[in-house]
Amino acid sequence: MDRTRADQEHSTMKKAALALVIGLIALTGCAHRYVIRLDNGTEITTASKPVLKEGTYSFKDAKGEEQFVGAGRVREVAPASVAAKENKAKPFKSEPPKKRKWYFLWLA
Amino acid sequence: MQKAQLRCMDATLTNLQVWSAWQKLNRIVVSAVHEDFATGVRVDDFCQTLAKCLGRDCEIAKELWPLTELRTPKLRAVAAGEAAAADLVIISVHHGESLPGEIKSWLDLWSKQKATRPKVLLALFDPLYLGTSSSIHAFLQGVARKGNMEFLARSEDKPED
Repeated sequence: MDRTRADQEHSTMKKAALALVIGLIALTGCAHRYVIRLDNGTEITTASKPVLKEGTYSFKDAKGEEQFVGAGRVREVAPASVAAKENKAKPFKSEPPKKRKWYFLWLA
Repeated sequence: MQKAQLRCMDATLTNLQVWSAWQKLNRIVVSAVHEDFATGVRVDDFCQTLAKCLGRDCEIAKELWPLTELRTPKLRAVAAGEAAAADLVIISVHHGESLPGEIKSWLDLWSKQKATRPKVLLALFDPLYLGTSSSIHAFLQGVARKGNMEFLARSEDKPED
């Protein structure tokens, strides 16, 4: 009986540890991703932090290959998490038109 | 306009079919790809010559794309979009057997698109004393023919001693 309970506890701990590991991997993966936004609005997602050297940003793509983009074309470089927040459309609140009092009607 | 034509001593430019149309424009859009710094300088030099020939009234709006930037698919697409809309597309490379793959992919993206106005494809090569690029020349000539573009190739002058 005790052994079964111990097995169950062990299994639960394993699952928790697995979830933790997956979460950490996901977090570390996201931490290195950046978004380069160009002047024309094009966005390039990078797999490493872009480094500016002699007027050119260098970064690694998803395949791990080094890529380059001229600083002159870049409007903004931001961590992917920040860029995602910025891209989220802000909820649009439409205000109902204000009702005018009857005694202002003569002004219209 | 007549004065500009007289000032221009570059016969290869003035012989272009589009030349008379270009002389009437007040803005010429140039899109160029180059292999490295030296080939980029060559593009700048050519654009200066072109500006001199066209006179003060014409603005040369040029966009240079180094080969390294064409490796990124999204940048390649942006560069291709610009080339499709340009009056003059320049490819400035060193002598070699064939064009780098990035430039070929970039050419594929835009060269088959139907141009809205006459376009010129210009190849700028190293000086002849450094070798030849006959296969690249022939390849680009074919691209220009298929895309209904005028083709022009130039080799840099030998530096004076």
